[in-house]
Amino acid sequence: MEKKSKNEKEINRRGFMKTAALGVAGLAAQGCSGNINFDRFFQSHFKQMDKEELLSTLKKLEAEYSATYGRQFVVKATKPMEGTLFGYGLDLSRCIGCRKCVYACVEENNQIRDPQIHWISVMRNKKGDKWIDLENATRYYDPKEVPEDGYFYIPIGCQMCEQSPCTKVCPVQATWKEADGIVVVDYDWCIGCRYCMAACPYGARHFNLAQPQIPKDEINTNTHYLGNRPRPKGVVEKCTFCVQRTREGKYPACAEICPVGARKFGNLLDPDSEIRYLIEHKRVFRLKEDMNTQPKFYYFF
Amino acid sequence: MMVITAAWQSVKTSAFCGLGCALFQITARVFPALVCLFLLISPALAQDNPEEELVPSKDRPGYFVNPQGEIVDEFGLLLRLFEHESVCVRCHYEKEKYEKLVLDWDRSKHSKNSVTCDKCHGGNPKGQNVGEAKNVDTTNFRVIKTPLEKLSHEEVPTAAFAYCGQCHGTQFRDWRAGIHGKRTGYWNGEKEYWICIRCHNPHNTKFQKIAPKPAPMAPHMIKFKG
Repeated sequence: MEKKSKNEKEINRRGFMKTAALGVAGLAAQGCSGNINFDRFFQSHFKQMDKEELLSTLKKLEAEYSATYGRQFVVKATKPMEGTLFGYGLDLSRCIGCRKCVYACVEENNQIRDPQIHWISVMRNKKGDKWIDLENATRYYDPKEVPEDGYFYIPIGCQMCEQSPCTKVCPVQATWKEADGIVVVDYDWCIGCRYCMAACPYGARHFNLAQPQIPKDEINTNTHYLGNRPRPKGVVEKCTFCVQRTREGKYPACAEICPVGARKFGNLLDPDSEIRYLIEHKRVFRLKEDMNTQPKFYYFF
Repeated sequence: MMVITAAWQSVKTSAFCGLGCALFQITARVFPALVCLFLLISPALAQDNPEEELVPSKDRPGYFVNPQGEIVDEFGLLLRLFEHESVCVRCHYEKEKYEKLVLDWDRSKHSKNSVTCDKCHGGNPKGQNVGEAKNVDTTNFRVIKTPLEKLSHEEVPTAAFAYCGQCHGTQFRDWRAGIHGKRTGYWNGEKEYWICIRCHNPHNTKFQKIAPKPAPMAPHMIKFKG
Protein backbone atom coordinates (compact mmCIF):
# COMPACT_ATOMS: atom_id res chain seq x y z
CA MET A 1 0.00 0.00 0.00
CA GLU A 2 2.76 2.32 1.01
CA LYS A 3 4.68 1.62 -2.19
CA LYS A 4 1.65 2.20 -4.27
CA SER A 5 0.85 5.43 -2.57
CA LYS A 6 4.45 6.59 -3.04
CA ASN A 7 4.19 5.72 -6.72
CA GLU A 8 0.96 7.58 -6.95
CA LYS A 9 2.54 10.59 -5.31
CA GLU A 10 5.47 10.54 -7.72
CA ILE A 11 3.25 10.15 -10.72
CA ASN A 12 1.08 12.90 -9.44
CA ARG A 13 3.97 15.29 -9.01
CA ARG A 14 5.39 14.43 -12.41
CA GLY A 15 2.00 14.65 -13.97
CA PHE A 16 1.43 18.00 -12.36
CA MET A 17 4.70 19.39 -13.74
CA LYS A 18 3.84 18.04 -17.17
CA THR A 19 0.42 19.58 -17.28
CA ALA A 20 1.74 22.81 -15.85
CA ALA A 21 4.42 23.03 -18.54
CA LEU A 22 1.91 22.23 -21.23
CA GLY A 23 -0.49 24.77 -19.82
CA VAL A 24 2.15 27.52 -19.80
CA ALA A 25 3.13 26.63 -23.35
CA GLY A 26 -0.49 26.68 -24.36
CA LEU A 27 -1.03 30.06 -22.74
CA ALA A 28 2.08 31.42 -24.44
CA ALA A 29 0.81 30.11 -27.74
CA GLN A 30 -2.56 31.71 -27.19
CA GLY A 31 -0.88 34.94 -26.20
CA CYS A 32 0.77 35.04 -29.62
CA SER A 33 -2.72 34.97 -31.15
CA GLY A 34 -2.38 31.39 -32.25
CA ASN A 35 0.86 32.10 -34.05
CA ILE A 36 3.48 30.17 -32.07
CA ASN A 37 6.84 31.76 -32.77
CA PHE A 38 9.38 30.86 -30.13
CA ASP A 39 12.30 32.17 -32.15
CA ARG A 40 10.69 35.57 -32.28
CA PHE A 41 9.79 35.33 -28.61
CA PHE A 42 13.35 34.68 -27.48
CA GLN A 43 14.91 37.05 -30.02
CA SER A 44 17.36 39.63 -28.61
CA HIS A 45 17.04 43.37 -28.73
CA PHE A 46 18.16 44.69 -32.13
CA LYS A 47 21.08 46.63 -30.69
CA GLN A 48 22.32 43.61 -28.72
CA MET A 49 22.29 41.17 -31.63
CA ASP A 50 25.66 40.04 -32.91
CA LYS A 51 26.25 39.60 -36.61
CA GLU A 52 25.28 35.95 -36.75
CA GLU A 53 22.12 36.36 -34.77
CA LEU A 54 21.13 39.37 -36.85
CA LEU A 55 21.66 37.47 -40.09
CA SER A 56 19.72 34.46 -38.90
CA THR A 57 16.92 36.70 -37.63
CA LEU A 58 16.69 38.52 -40.95
CA LYS A 59 16.59 35.19 -42.79
CA LYS A 60 13.86 33.89 -40.52
CA LEU A 61 11.84 37.06 -41.05
CA GLU A 62 12.32 36.84 -44.81
CA ALA A 63 11.13 33.25 -44.82
CA GLU A 64 8.16 34.07 -42.64
CA TYR A 65 7.03 37.04 -44.72
CA SER A 66 7.61 35.21 -47.98
CA ALA A 67 5.44 32.35 -46.73
CA THR A 68 2.69 34.68 -45.53
CA TYR A 69 2.51 36.92 -48.59
CA GLY A 70 3.65 34.49 -51.27
CA ARG A 71 6.33 36.85 -52.58
CA GLN A 72 10.09 36.98 -52.17
CA PHE A 73 10.97 39.41 -49.38
CA VAL A 74 14.19 41.25 -48.64
CA VAL A 75 14.67 42.31 -45.02
CA LYS A 76 17.69 44.51 -44.60
CA ALA A 77 19.39 45.97 -41.57
CA THR A 78 21.42 48.65 -43.32
CA LYS A 79 23.52 50.57 -40.82
CA PRO A 80 23.55 54.38 -40.76
CA MET A 81 25.99 56.00 -43.16
CA GLU A 82 28.87 57.75 -41.53
CA GLY A 83 28.68 61.53 -41.40
CA THR A 84 24.96 61.74 -42.02
CA LEU A 85 22.26 63.44 -40.00
CA PHE A 86 19.02 63.50 -41.89
CA GLY A 87 16.89 66.59 -42.06
CA TYR A 88 13.64 67.28 -43.82
CA GLY A 89 12.30 70.49 -45.30
CA LEU A 90 8.73 71.24 -46.28
CA ASP A 91 7.67 74.27 -48.28
CA LEU A 92 4.36 75.41 -46.83
CA SER A 93 3.77 77.95 -49.57
CA ARG A 94 3.78 75.15 -52.14
CA CYS A 95 1.86 72.37 -50.38
CA ILE A 96 -1.59 72.02 -51.90
CA GLY A 97 -2.91 69.38 -49.50
CA CYS A 98 -3.48 66.68 -52.13
CA ARG A 99 -2.52 63.84 -49.70
CA LYS A 100 -0.46 62.08 -52.38
CA CYS A 101 2.38 61.77 -49.86
CA VAL A 102 0.07 60.08 -47.36
CA TYR A 103 -0.83 57.28 -49.71
CA ALA A 104 2.65 56.94 -51.20
CA CYS A 105 3.85 56.43 -47.63
CA VAL A 106 1.22 53.76 -46.98
CA GLU A 107 2.26 51.84 -50.08
CA GLU A 108 5.97 52.18 -49.42
CA ASN A 109 5.87 51.37 -45.74
CA ASN A 110 3.28 48.57 -45.66
CA GLN A 111 0.92 50.26 -43.23
CA ILE A 112 -2.19 48.43 -42.19
CA ARG A 113 -5.15 49.34 -44.41
CA ASP A 114 -7.91 48.41 -42.00
CA PRO A 115 -8.03 49.81 -39.33
CA GLN A 116 -6.25 52.47 -41.25
CA ILE A 117 -2.89 53.92 -40.22
CA HIS A 118 -1.45 57.01 -41.90
CA TRP A 119 2.01 58.13 -40.82
CA ILE A 120 1.46 61.56 -42.36
CA SER A 121 -1.49 63.73 -41.38
CA VAL A 122 -2.12 66.70 -43.61
CA MET A 123 -3.67 69.41 -41.47
CA ARG A 124 -5.78 72.12 -43.04
CA ASN A 125 -5.35 75.53 -41.43
CA LYS A 126 -7.34 78.69 -41.98
CA LYS A 127 -5.29 81.51 -43.43
CA GLY A 128 -4.99 84.67 -41.45
CA ASP A 129 -6.62 83.73 -38.14
CA LYS A 130 -3.59 82.68 -36.21
CA TRP A 131 -0.15 81.58 -37.19
CA ILE A 132 -0.46 77.81 -36.95
CA ASP A 133 -3.46 76.76 -34.97
CA LEU A 134 -3.23 73.00 -34.79
CA GLU A 135 -6.12 72.73 -32.36
CA ASN A 136 -8.56 74.15 -34.88
CA ALA A 137 -6.94 72.51 -37.88
CA THR A 138 -8.53 69.44 -39.42
CA ARG A 139 -7.15 66.40 -41.16
CA TYR A 140 -10.55 65.21 -42.40
CA TYR A 141 -11.09 67.93 -45.00
CA ASP A 142 -12.58 66.53 -48.16
CA PRO A 143 -13.20 69.08 -50.92
CA LYS A 144 -13.57 68.24 -54.59
CA GLU A 145 -10.45 70.13 -55.52
CA VAL A 146 -7.40 71.38 -53.70
CA PRO A 147 -5.96 73.84 -52.85
CA GLU A 148 -9.01 75.53 -51.36
CA ASP A 149 -9.15 79.30 -51.15
CA GLY A 150 -8.38 80.69 -47.73
CA TYR A 151 -6.61 77.63 -46.39
CA PHE A 152 -3.10 76.31 -46.15
CA TYR A 153 -1.92 72.80 -45.42
CA ILE A 154 0.71 71.38 -43.07
CA PRO A 155 1.66 67.75 -43.48
CA ILE A 156 2.84 66.39 -40.15
CA GLY A 157 4.78 63.18 -39.66
CA CYS A 158 7.52 62.21 -37.28
CA GLN A 159 9.65 65.28 -36.59
CA MET A 160 12.74 63.18 -35.73
CA CYS A 161 13.48 65.13 -32.57
CA GLU A 162 17.00 65.34 -31.26
CA GLN A 163 15.55 65.39 -27.74
CA SER A 164 12.86 62.85 -28.48
CA PRO A 165 10.33 62.49 -25.66
CA CYS A 166 9.07 59.19 -27.07
CA THR A 167 12.37 57.36 -26.65
CA LYS A 168 12.80 58.64 -23.10
CA VAL A 169 9.55 57.16 -21.84
CA CYS A 170 9.87 53.70 -23.38
CA PRO A 171 10.08 51.28 -20.44
CA VAL A 172 11.83 48.56 -22.47
CA GLN A 173 14.01 50.72 -24.72
CA ALA A 174 12.32 49.38 -27.81
CA THR A 175 12.63 52.76 -29.49
CA TRP A 176 15.74 54.87 -29.88
CA LYS A 177 17.45 57.47 -32.02
CA GLU A 178 19.94 56.10 -34.55
CA ALA A 179 23.26 57.71 -35.37
CA ASP A 180 21.84 59.35 -38.50
CA GLY A 181 19.07 60.95 -36.47
CA ILE A 182 16.23 58.59 -37.38
CA VAL A 183 14.04 57.53 -34.48
CA VAL A 184 13.26 53.85 -34.93
CA VAL A 185 11.27 51.10 -33.24
CA ASP A 186 12.22 47.45 -32.78
CA TYR A 187 8.79 45.99 -33.44
CA ASP A 188 9.73 42.66 -31.91
CA TRP A 189 10.86 44.30 -28.68
CA CYS A 190 7.92 46.68 -28.34
CA ILE A 191 5.44 45.62 -25.68
CA GLY A 192 2.67 47.89 -26.93
CA CYS A 193 2.30 50.00 -23.79
CA ARG A 194 1.81 53.15 -25.89
CA TYR A 195 3.69 55.40 -23.49
CA CYS A 196 5.55 56.85 -26.48
CA MET A 197 2.28 57.74 -28.18
CA ALA A 198 1.29 59.71 -25.11
CA ALA A 199 4.69 61.38 -24.94
CA CYS A 200 4.86 62.45 -28.60
CA PRO A 201 3.69 66.06 -28.96
CA TYR A 202 3.11 65.64 -32.71
CA GLY A 203 0.85 62.60 -32.79
CA ALA A 204 3.36 60.88 -35.02
CA ARG A 205 3.19 57.43 -33.48
CA HIS A 206 0.52 54.90 -34.36
CA PHE A 207 -0.65 51.64 -32.88
CA ASN A 208 -1.46 48.43 -34.74
CA LEU A 209 -4.87 47.55 -33.41
CA ALA A 210 -5.19 44.44 -35.58
CA GLN A 211 -3.02 41.91 -37.33
CA PRO A 212 -1.98 43.84 -40.45
CA GLN A 213 -3.43 42.32 -43.59
CA ILE A 214 -1.94 43.96 -46.60
CA PRO A 215 -3.10 42.98 -50.09
CA LYS A 216 -0.49 40.70 -51.68
CA ASP A 217 -0.12 42.76 -54.82
CA GLU A 218 0.28 46.00 -52.90
CA ILE A 219 2.94 44.91 -50.44
CA ASN A 220 6.42 46.38 -50.70
CA THR A 221 8.89 43.51 -50.51
CA ASN A 222 11.97 45.70 -50.16
CA THR A 223 12.02 46.13 -46.40
CA HIS A 224 14.19 47.16 -43.48
CA TYR A 225 14.18 45.55 -40.04
CA LEU A 226 13.63 48.91 -38.34
CA GLY A 227 11.48 50.32 -41.10
CA ASN A 228 8.74 49.01 -43.30
CA ARG A 229 8.73 45.25 -42.66
CA PRO A 230 5.22 43.97 -41.89
CA ARG A 231 4.49 44.70 -38.26
CA PRO A 232 2.81 42.34 -35.82
CA LYS A 233 -0.37 43.25 -34.02
CA GLY A 234 -0.09 45.34 -30.89
CA VAL A 235 3.07 47.35 -31.59
CA VAL A 236 3.72 51.01 -32.16
CA GLU A 237 5.03 52.21 -35.51
CA LYS A 238 6.10 55.53 -36.96
CA CYS A 239 7.72 57.37 -39.86
CA THR A 240 11.36 56.38 -40.35
CA PHE A 241 12.21 58.81 -43.19
CA CYS A 242 11.87 55.64 -45.33
CA VAL A 243 14.97 54.13 -43.70
CA GLN A 244 15.06 51.38 -46.34
CA ARG A 245 15.44 54.03 -49.06
CA THR A 246 17.36 56.87 -47.46
CA ARG A 247 20.17 54.72 -46.10
CA GLU A 248 20.80 53.65 -49.69
CA GLY A 249 20.88 57.25 -50.82
CA LYS A 250 17.38 57.48 -52.26
CA TYR A 251 14.84 60.18 -51.46
CA PRO A 252 11.93 59.18 -49.21
CA ALA A 253 8.77 58.06 -50.97
CA CYS A 254 6.82 61.17 -49.94
CA ALA A 255 9.44 63.47 -51.47
CA GLU A 256 9.40 61.45 -54.68
CA ILE A 257 5.64 61.65 -55.11
CA CYS A 258 5.03 65.29 -54.14
CA PRO A 259 3.50 66.89 -57.26
CA VAL A 260 4.59 70.42 -56.33
CA GLY A 261 8.09 69.62 -55.09
CA ALA A 262 7.39 70.96 -51.62
CA ARG A 263 9.34 68.22 -49.85
CA LYS A 264 13.10 68.51 -49.46
CA PHE A 265 15.40 65.95 -47.92
CA GLY A 266 19.10 65.90 -47.23
CA ASN A 267 22.07 65.58 -44.97
CA LEU A 268 22.30 68.29 -42.32
CA LEU A 269 26.04 67.73 -41.95
CA ASP A 270 26.72 68.41 -45.62
CA PRO A 271 27.08 72.19 -46.09
CA ASP A 272 26.18 71.94 -49.80
CA SER A 273 22.97 70.01 -49.30
CA GLU A 274 19.50 71.30 -50.17
CA ILE A 275 18.39 71.17 -46.57
CA ARG A 276 21.29 73.31 -45.39
CA TYR A 277 20.62 75.84 -48.15
CA LEU A 278 17.00 76.23 -47.18
CA ILE A 279 17.79 76.58 -43.48
CA GLU A 280 20.30 79.29 -44.28
CA HIS A 281 18.29 81.17 -46.91
CA LYS A 282 14.61 80.67 -46.19
CA ARG A 283 12.23 81.55 -43.38
CA VAL A 284 12.32 78.37 -41.36
CA PHE A 285 10.42 77.23 -38.31
CA ARG A 286 9.87 73.98 -36.47
CA LEU A 287 6.69 72.74 -34.86
CA LYS A 288 6.25 73.27 -31.12
CA GLU A 289 9.76 74.55 -30.59
CA ASP A 290 8.80 75.56 -27.07
CA MET A 291 8.76 71.89 -26.12
CA ASN A 292 12.52 71.79 -26.66
CA THR A 293 12.21 68.61 -28.66
CA GLN A 294 14.58 70.05 -31.28
CA PRO A 295 12.99 68.51 -34.36
CA LYS A 296 14.93 67.93 -37.55
CA PHE A 297 11.84 68.64 -39.64
CA TYR A 298 11.97 72.19 -40.95
CA TYR A 299 8.95 73.97 -42.35
CA PHE A 300 9.77 76.89 -44.58
CA PHE A 301 7.96 79.36 -46.78
CA MET B 1 -17.85 120.42 -65.50
CA MET B 2 -21.11 122.32 -65.33
CA VAL B 3 -22.47 119.91 -62.80
CA ILE B 4 -19.40 120.19 -60.64
CA THR B 5 -19.45 123.98 -60.69
CA ALA B 6 -23.13 123.95 -59.79
CA ALA B 7 -22.39 121.59 -56.94
CA TRP B 8 -19.53 123.72 -55.74
CA GLN B 9 -21.82 126.77 -55.88
CA SER B 10 -24.33 125.01 -53.73
CA VAL B 11 -21.62 124.16 -51.20
CA LYS B 12 -20.43 127.74 -51.16
CA THR B 13 -23.89 129.14 -50.68
CA SER B 14 -24.73 126.67 -47.98
CA ALA B 15 -21.57 127.54 -46.11
CA PHE B 16 -22.19 131.22 -46.68
CA CYS B 17 -25.75 131.20 -45.49
CA GLY B 18 -24.54 129.52 -42.33
CA LEU B 19 -27.70 127.49 -41.87
CA GLY B 20 -25.93 125.33 -39.38
CA CYS B 21 -27.99 122.33 -40.29
CA ALA B 22 -25.70 119.32 -39.91
CA LEU B 23 -27.69 117.16 -42.28
CA PHE B 24 -27.54 119.74 -45.01
CA GLN B 25 -23.84 120.20 -44.56
CA ILE B 26 -23.22 116.47 -44.95
CA THR B 27 -25.32 116.35 -48.11
CA ALA B 28 -23.44 119.31 -49.45
CA ARG B 29 -20.12 117.62 -48.85
CA VAL B 30 -21.14 114.26 -50.19
CA PHE B 31 -22.97 115.49 -53.28
CA PRO B 32 -19.94 116.77 -55.25
CA ALA B 33 -18.11 113.59 -54.43
CA LEU B 34 -21.00 111.53 -55.77
CA VAL B 35 -21.08 113.57 -58.92
CA CYS B 36 -17.38 113.01 -59.48
CA LEU B 37 -17.81 109.29 -58.88
CA PHE B 38 -20.64 109.12 -61.41
CA LEU B 39 -18.58 110.98 -63.97
CA LEU B 40 -15.80 108.47 -63.49
CA ILE B 41 -18.04 105.42 -63.67
CA SER B 42 -20.25 106.49 -66.56
CA PRO B 43 -17.82 105.59 -69.38
CA ALA B 44 -17.42 102.16 -67.83
CA LEU B 45 -21.19 101.77 -67.68
CA ALA B 46 -21.48 102.83 -71.27
CA GLN B 47 -18.99 100.13 -72.25
CA ASP B 48 -21.06 97.50 -70.54
CA ASN B 49 -23.88 97.84 -73.04
CA PRO B 50 -22.33 96.03 -76.02
CA GLU B 51 -21.86 93.00 -73.79
CA GLU B 52 -25.45 92.03 -74.51
CA GLU B 53 -24.70 91.80 -78.19
CA LEU B 54 -21.84 89.35 -77.70
CA VAL B 55 -22.40 85.96 -79.24
CA PRO B 56 -20.53 82.96 -77.81
CA SER B 57 -17.82 81.90 -80.19
CA LYS B 58 -18.36 78.56 -81.85
CA ASP B 59 -14.70 77.82 -82.53
CA ARG B 60 -13.23 79.02 -79.26
CA PRO B 61 -15.09 78.00 -76.13
CA GLY B 62 -15.16 80.63 -73.40
CA TYR B 63 -14.85 83.50 -75.88
CA PHE B 64 -17.34 85.71 -77.67
CA VAL B 65 -17.79 87.39 -81.02
CA ASN B 66 -18.72 91.07 -81.08
CA PRO B 67 -20.83 92.78 -83.79
CA GLN B 68 -17.68 93.60 -85.70
CA GLY B 69 -16.91 89.87 -85.93
CA GLU B 70 -13.88 90.10 -83.66
CA ILE B 71 -13.15 87.56 -80.99
CA VAL B 72 -13.43 89.11 -77.51
CA ASP B 73 -13.52 87.94 -73.91
CA GLU B 74 -16.52 88.15 -71.61
CA PHE B 75 -15.94 91.85 -70.94
CA GLY B 76 -16.09 92.74 -74.60
CA LEU B 77 -12.36 93.37 -74.73
CA LEU B 78 -10.28 92.32 -77.66
CA LEU B 79 -7.85 89.50 -77.18
CA ARG B 80 -4.51 90.74 -76.02
CA LEU B 81 -3.02 88.85 -78.88
CA PHE B 82 -4.39 91.44 -81.28
CA GLU B 83 -3.38 94.29 -79.02
CA HIS B 84 0.19 93.23 -79.43
CA GLU B 85 -0.34 92.91 -83.16
CA SER B 86 1.96 89.98 -83.16
CA VAL B 87 3.01 89.06 -86.61
CA CYS B 88 3.16 85.35 -85.79
CA VAL B 89 -0.60 85.15 -85.40
CA ARG B 90 -1.30 86.29 -88.90
CA CYS B 91 0.09 83.01 -90.19
CA HIS B 92 -0.15 80.69 -87.20
CA TYR B 93 -3.39 81.61 -85.46
CA GLU B 94 -5.70 79.78 -87.77
CA LYS B 95 -3.90 76.53 -87.37
CA GLU B 96 -5.68 74.21 -85.00
CA LYS B 97 -2.47 73.09 -83.39
CA TYR B 98 -1.73 76.57 -82.12
CA GLU B 99 -5.25 77.51 -81.25
CA LYS B 100 -5.34 76.02 -77.80
CA LEU B 101 -1.87 77.22 -76.88
CA VAL B 102 -2.56 80.73 -78.06
CA LEU B 103 -5.86 80.94 -76.20
CA ASP B 104 -4.28 79.58 -73.02
CA TRP B 105 -1.53 82.10 -73.35
CA ASP B 106 -4.00 84.89 -73.82
CA ARG B 107 -5.54 84.18 -70.42
CA SER B 108 -2.18 83.80 -68.71
CA LYS B 109 -0.05 86.20 -66.74
CA HIS B 110 2.51 86.04 -69.50
CA SER B 111 0.24 87.85 -71.91
CA LYS B 112 -0.58 90.51 -69.29
CA ASN B 113 3.13 91.19 -68.93
CA SER B 114 3.77 91.27 -72.68
CA VAL B 115 5.69 88.03 -72.83
CA THR B 116 4.71 87.44 -76.43
CA CYS B 117 5.41 84.44 -78.66
CA ASP B 118 8.72 85.78 -79.90
CA LYS B 119 10.17 86.03 -76.40
CA CYS B 120 10.32 82.25 -76.15
CA HIS B 121 9.94 80.93 -79.66
CA GLY B 122 12.08 83.52 -81.38
CA GLY B 123 11.13 85.65 -84.33
CA ASN B 124 10.65 89.35 -84.80
CA PRO B 125 7.11 90.64 -84.15
CA LYS B 126 7.86 93.93 -85.88
CA GLY B 127 8.74 92.29 -89.16
CA GLN B 128 6.45 93.09 -92.01
CA ASN B 129 7.02 89.99 -94.11
CA VAL B 130 8.03 86.42 -93.52
CA GLY B 131 11.71 87.15 -94.02
CA GLU B 132 11.76 89.96 -91.47
CA ALA B 133 9.57 88.07 -89.02
CA LYS B 134 11.92 85.13 -88.93
CA ASN B 135 14.96 87.34 -88.54
CA VAL B 136 15.82 87.27 -84.85
CA ASP B 137 17.50 90.16 -83.06
CA THR B 138 19.22 88.80 -79.97
CA THR B 139 21.25 91.82 -78.99
CA ASN B 140 19.11 92.83 -76.02
CA PHE B 141 17.40 89.68 -74.99
CA ARG B 142 18.21 86.03 -75.10
CA VAL B 143 15.68 84.05 -77.07
CA ILE B 144 15.41 80.47 -78.06
CA LYS B 145 16.23 80.65 -81.70
CA THR B 146 14.76 77.34 -82.69
CA PRO B 147 11.31 76.42 -81.41
CA LEU B 148 11.41 74.24 -78.28
CA GLU B 149 9.71 71.35 -80.00
CA LYS B 150 12.53 71.15 -82.54
CA LEU B 151 15.29 70.99 -79.93
CA SER B 152 16.69 67.69 -78.76
CA HIS B 153 16.00 66.44 -75.24
CA GLU B 154 19.42 67.51 -74.01
CA GLU B 155 19.07 71.02 -75.36
CA VAL B 156 15.62 71.78 -73.98
CA PRO B 157 16.58 72.19 -70.30
CA THR B 158 19.45 74.58 -70.94
CA ALA B 159 17.49 76.62 -73.40
CA ALA B 160 14.42 76.74 -71.18
CA PHE B 161 16.40 77.73 -68.10
CA ALA B 162 18.58 80.25 -69.77
CA TYR B 163 15.34 81.70 -70.88
CA CYS B 164 12.97 81.50 -67.89
CA GLY B 165 15.72 82.58 -65.50
CA GLN B 166 16.00 85.94 -67.21
CA CYS B 167 12.75 87.09 -65.65
CA HIS B 168 12.22 84.60 -62.86
CA GLY B 169 15.58 85.15 -61.21
CA THR B 170 14.69 84.21 -57.63
CA GLN B 171 13.02 81.01 -58.73
CA PHE B 172 15.95 80.19 -60.95
CA ARG B 173 18.40 80.72 -58.08
CA ASP B 174 16.34 78.55 -55.75
CA TRP B 175 15.93 75.91 -58.42
CA ARG B 176 19.66 75.66 -58.90
CA ALA B 177 20.07 75.20 -55.15
CA GLY B 178 17.39 72.50 -55.21
CA ILE B 179 14.81 74.39 -53.15
CA HIS B 180 12.40 75.36 -55.87
CA GLY B 181 10.91 72.53 -57.86
CA LYS B 182 11.39 68.86 -57.53
CA ARG B 183 14.31 66.48 -57.56
CA THR B 184 14.05 62.73 -57.62
CA GLY B 185 16.58 59.95 -57.41
CA TYR B 186 19.38 59.96 -54.85
CA TRP B 187 19.87 62.61 -52.17
CA ASN B 188 23.61 61.93 -52.12
CA GLY B 189 24.13 60.95 -55.71
CA GLU B 190 22.59 61.03 -59.11
CA LYS B 191 19.36 62.94 -59.11
CA GLU B 192 16.92 64.05 -61.69
CA TYR B 193 16.28 67.78 -61.80
CA TRP B 194 12.78 68.58 -62.86
CA ILE B 195 12.93 71.40 -65.37
CA CYS B 196 10.55 74.40 -65.37
CA ILE B 197 8.25 73.23 -68.12
CA ARG B 198 7.77 69.83 -66.53
CA CYS B 199 5.59 71.50 -63.88
CA HIS B 200 4.81 74.93 -65.30
CA ASN B 201 2.97 75.35 -68.54
CA PRO B 202 4.38 78.51 -70.08
CA HIS B 203 1.22 79.00 -72.14
CA ASN B 204 -1.07 78.58 -69.15
CA THR B 205 0.86 79.77 -66.13
CA LYS B 206 -1.84 79.23 -63.53
CA PHE B 207 -1.72 75.86 -61.80
CA GLN B 208 -4.78 73.72 -62.22
CA LYS B 209 -6.48 72.47 -59.06
CA ILE B 210 -6.43 68.72 -58.52
CA ALA B 211 -8.64 66.27 -56.69
CA PRO B 212 -7.24 65.24 -53.30
CA LYS B 213 -6.83 61.64 -52.20
CA PRO B 214 -9.51 60.36 -49.80
CA ALA B 215 -9.58 61.76 -46.28
CA PRO B 216 -8.38 59.55 -43.45
CA MET B 217 -10.95 57.50 -41.62
CA ALA B 218 -12.49 59.31 -38.66
CA PRO B 219 -11.93 57.54 -35.32
CA HIS B 220 -15.57 56.54 -34.96
CA MET B 221 -15.43 54.77 -38.31
CA ILE B 222 -12.59 52.48 -37.27
CA LYS B 223 -13.76 49.00 -36.38
CA PHE B 224 -11.85 46.31 -34.57
CA LYS B 225 -11.46 43.05 -36.35
CA GLY B 226 -9.39 41.39 -33.60
